[in-house]
Amino acid sequence: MKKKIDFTVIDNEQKCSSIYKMQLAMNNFSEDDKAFLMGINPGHFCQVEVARSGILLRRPFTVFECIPEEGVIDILYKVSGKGTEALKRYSKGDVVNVILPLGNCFPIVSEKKVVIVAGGIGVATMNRLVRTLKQLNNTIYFFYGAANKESLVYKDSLAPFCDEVFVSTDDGSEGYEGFITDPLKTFLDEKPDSYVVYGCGPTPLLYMLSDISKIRKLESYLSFETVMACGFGICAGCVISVCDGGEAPKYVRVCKEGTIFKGAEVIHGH
Amino acid sequence: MDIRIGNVIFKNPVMVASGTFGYGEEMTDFYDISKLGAVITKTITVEPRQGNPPPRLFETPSGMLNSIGLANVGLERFINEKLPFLAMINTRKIVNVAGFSPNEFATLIKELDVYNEIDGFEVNISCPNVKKGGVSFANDPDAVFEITSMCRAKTKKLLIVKLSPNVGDIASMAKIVENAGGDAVSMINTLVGMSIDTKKCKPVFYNEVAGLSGPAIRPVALASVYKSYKKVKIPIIGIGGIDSFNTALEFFMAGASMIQIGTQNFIDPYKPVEIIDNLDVYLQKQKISLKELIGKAH
Repeated sequence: MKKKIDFTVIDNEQKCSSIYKMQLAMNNFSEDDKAFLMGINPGHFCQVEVARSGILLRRPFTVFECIPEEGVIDILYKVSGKGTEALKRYSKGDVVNVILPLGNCFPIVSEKKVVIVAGGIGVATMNRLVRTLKQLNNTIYFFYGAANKESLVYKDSLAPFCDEVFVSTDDGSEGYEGFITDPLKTFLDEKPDSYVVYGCGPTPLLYMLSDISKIRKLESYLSFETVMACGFGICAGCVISVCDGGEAPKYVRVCKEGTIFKGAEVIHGH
Repeated sequence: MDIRIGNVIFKNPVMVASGTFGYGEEMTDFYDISKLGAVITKTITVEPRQGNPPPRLFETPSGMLNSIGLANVGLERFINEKLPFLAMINTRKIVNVAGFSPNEFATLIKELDVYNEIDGFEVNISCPNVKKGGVSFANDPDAVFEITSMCRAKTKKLLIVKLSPNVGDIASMAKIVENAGGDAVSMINTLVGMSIDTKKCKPVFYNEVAGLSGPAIRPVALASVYKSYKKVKIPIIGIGGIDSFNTALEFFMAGASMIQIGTQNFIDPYKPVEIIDNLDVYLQKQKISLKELIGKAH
């Protein structure tokens, strides 16, 4: 069941020059709401109304953190347009309307070797996934790429849950200078294994991860981000191309059939 | 709040616009869609359509451009996979259809007419974002007459023709539908618009132009309804940027017998139900009937 719920802003904290974390507490929180929030799993997203500045459409954000006992959710967002510009001006006490949970969620494995790849703000989707996978005794290799050192938000807080952390930055201010897929390929070449790959980040990165997992025959789950109008399957505006089971490529809705797709199914360039 | 259009009685005058409600199934996560006056399906074509390549959406001031390209499962799969769900809903079901020739419109109506769960049809002659089929039928008075007549000949069910605002005089087009035997007109479909990606120096959309919807088009829609109300006797169904009870009220007062909620479904899926509830309260408070409200601004 999806719900449209008012939340009150508890905090809207700047994490680096362009990334903010907004903490939201559910208005009129009840025991039923607690059960409802417990159904929000890693990978789920929400649609946030940005009622200021005449902005029409909601903005989709992954649920970065969810604390059912307190009726609290967090979203982590990068200021990159009118919607997020408006969102960063929200302050404590403001009310925000949210529709959730939306999309599918990550298949969760246990006692496996997993590779988690986050590109930029894609780390928002990986926060809950990393913690969940660690609880299930997976060995986690975390690959995190960002524009620069300051944009590697939550690297230090996620590191304790990971067995190894690999970092890249576009400007070389921390870790490898270049795309995160370079150290990833090196790792996979040097230590080949049947990893389960999880990825979230810019679309070109996801297509690269799709290619990498196809070539190495790795099970992979990639969370896509596209422009959306509704977020729950009625506008058909957020499509990407997939090919499942040998048929011709077809368009599927990122918000409804995704946001998470098997890397083997997604098709670049259609 | 019930209202009769053609030979169909609707429990209330609030419908949802084609293309903004899927096939209805998706919305059951939110509320019992039987509360609506009617569900209108997304456009069905004879053959399945994948739709246009992305990007398909672009937000504009108080509106949005869409270039979906009539993505739909096609007639056969609609009948087999989508109609059984619609049959279970306890409200009126209108199927929106589009063809790329007058014969295709007639084929769709003929094939669907046999299903008792369908209460009527809305004929989409005006979608501006589909290149295939050439110039939009909505611009051609003869084509509007021909398609309406051909569809009329294939069904006794409710026949609504959805009109485009991208014409010289929409009220004249409404008159043509009336003369050709249409039971009602719905207006307006999206306005032709575009946006240019200034970094790439080219249009945002693959099809160059797209359909503009949302509150940005409301004044155009309202004027279309108002002008057409003066010209035709058949009922008008008002569509275009309705996002609140008050804006719904404007359309009834302009002359709409029913309204459709479109883009607002994307933002607030509960809005149609909220408008139904508020209308009920308003009519009781004002001690007037819906019939008295329709065209009250004239």
